[in-house]
Amino acid sequence: MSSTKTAITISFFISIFLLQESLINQIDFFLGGFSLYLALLFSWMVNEERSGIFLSAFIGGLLLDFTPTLDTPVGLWTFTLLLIAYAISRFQDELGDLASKPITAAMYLVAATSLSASLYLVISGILGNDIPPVTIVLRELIGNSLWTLLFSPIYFPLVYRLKERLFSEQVRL
Amino acid sequence: MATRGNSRTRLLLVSLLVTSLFFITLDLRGLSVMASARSIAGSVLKPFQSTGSFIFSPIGNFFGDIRNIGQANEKLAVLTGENRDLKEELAEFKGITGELKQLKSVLDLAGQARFRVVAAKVLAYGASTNFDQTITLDVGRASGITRDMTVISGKGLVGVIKSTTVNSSIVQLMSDPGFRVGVRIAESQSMGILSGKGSNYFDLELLDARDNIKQGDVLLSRGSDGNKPFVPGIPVGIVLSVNNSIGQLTKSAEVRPFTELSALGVVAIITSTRVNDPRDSLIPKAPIASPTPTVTVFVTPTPEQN
Repeated sequence: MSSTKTAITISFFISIFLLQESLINQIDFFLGGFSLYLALLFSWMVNEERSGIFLSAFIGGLLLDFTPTLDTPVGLWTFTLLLIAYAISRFQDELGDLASKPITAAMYLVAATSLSASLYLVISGILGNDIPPVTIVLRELIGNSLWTLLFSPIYFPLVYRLKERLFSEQVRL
Repeated sequence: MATRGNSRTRLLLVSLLVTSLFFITLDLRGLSVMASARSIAGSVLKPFQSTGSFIFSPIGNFFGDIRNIGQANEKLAVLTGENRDLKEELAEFKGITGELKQLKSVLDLAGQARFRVVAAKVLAYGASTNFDQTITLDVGRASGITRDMTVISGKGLVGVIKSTTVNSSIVQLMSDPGFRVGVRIAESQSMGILSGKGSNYFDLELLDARDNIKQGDVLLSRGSDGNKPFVPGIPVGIVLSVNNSIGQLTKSAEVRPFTELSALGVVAIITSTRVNDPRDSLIPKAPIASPTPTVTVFVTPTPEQN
């Protein structure tokens, strides 16, 4: 990943992080919250080369680790997202071009966000942090999956086109 | 080339994983840099969050309200029901307070005259079988009530027991057109007959043509044989106006009763008396007029200016 691309990726993630923390978190969503940040992060990773996926996961995870309300160790989200990024990189060929497969794209996003949240919770528990009751965890996961699925036709094409436009010059080169 | 690229990617992944694990270790070991980083992030985020909250909280609340609309409706229904119940309770409480006030005054009057009474609640107004002016009370023969007993309120005469059942009785109100009661004027002791007119005013006709009557005279009931139907000394009314028609043999007057017959809640039925006639002791005391403050204004004429 070039330095320009890395800078653009960092800027994009910071913008989404600010959007999540200042606006999305204000909404009292039905069932559980909606992590637009994770959904956009995984949308961003689509069609990236493997190193790009890992770097995106690292940058995105590190930003997420600096969420002031978190009481888990810094680096936990980075570690979790790197593991998920590895899984995405393994199945990248099977997924193919998600821009032409909206249902698969939506399923991919739901699976990625749910898995990352679950894995984060498991590792957090292993590290000795308190784990919320199962009902609350399930409600949050179902809620997040629902909103990720419902909004995916809006944000996924937007991110895809934005990324295409931003990096079109590089692709041509 | 592909193998080389793969190994570089793997190396990148491993190094990134190691870095993240390094961060976790540092944080778990309590390195203040990590906590400070979050604190700085919090400070940076705060203005954005404040702005977002200011702009977006109505929308956020709107989503929450939509989600809770069912609960809000249920809550509204519960609160409406509670409000209705409280209003009913308040109305009932006001009614009870009024009844207690009336009960106190009627017992005061009966105690003053040393009457033995049975307190009763007015169940209904109006005629039960015909167009007579009556009230129905919640006490009857079971409480020792018999026909022709005198019924009083806290202010004076109400009427006479007309009929009884085991647990209720019907009172002929003094406003009934068929009602007649013998009265005496408190000061002059002149006697007359008071007749109901179907309204809240009564006709008084003096028995002796030589007797005098004037506005403001207080009328008390004359007793009957065995205190039935009337116990003596009960305040009946006050003279409003006197008719001095030349053609009339005796003087007559219009009388207003002491008792507000349209607002009866609790009354008492006199079952027996310990004193033969309380005389004028039951006459209601006139209200004490509060002094009116006066203002004196001195006017000094100003000299004319030329």
